[in-house]
Amino acid sequence: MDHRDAYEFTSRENETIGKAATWSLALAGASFIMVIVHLIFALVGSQLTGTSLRLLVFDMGAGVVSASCYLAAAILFAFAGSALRRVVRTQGNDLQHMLKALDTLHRIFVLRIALVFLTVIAVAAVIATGEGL
Amino acid sequence: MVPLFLICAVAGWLYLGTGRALKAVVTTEGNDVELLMRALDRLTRAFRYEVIATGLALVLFAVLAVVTRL
Repeated sequence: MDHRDAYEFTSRENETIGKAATWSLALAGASFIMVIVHLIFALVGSQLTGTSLRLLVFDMGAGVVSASCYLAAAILFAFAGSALRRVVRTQGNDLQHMLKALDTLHRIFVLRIALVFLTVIAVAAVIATGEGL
Repeated sequence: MVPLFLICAVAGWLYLGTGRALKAVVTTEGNDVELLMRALDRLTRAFRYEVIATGLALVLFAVLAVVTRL
């Protein structure tokens, strides 16, 4: 094993990492609740009678897309939290677990940046085609 | 909406701090672990604020749902 891979974080450092793991898992839970909320709003919030099919598809589609993004974030936050938790609980592989957690966090941030651009594009599309709906 | 905006703004600011601290891990030498811990501390606070913001958003959704049904 590479000498650098054998680095063990101190108890104080483990405390900091443990807190990050806890709140990452909490955020995964919160994101999962948002998945359910968005799905409920997509299904219950759409008026089925007297609404054009295009508007209905757009309303429900937006809800399902939002729910999917929250689901992806929830899964990634759970992965990141678990990897950080493993840094604290296991011995001998701290740096590898830490790097895996940081890699997952990187994916979360890329997903979120993509989500912001998608939202901007969706809003622009709604404004552009608003009359058509 | 103002409390939600403030919480998200603070979380955004903390994410910026996290990014700067992580960048410092790469660009500096001799203090990597301490800088990494600083970044994780800021990340934890950002996560905490986001959980609070999500909780507030849920309450707001519930209130709006009840009000619009009435």
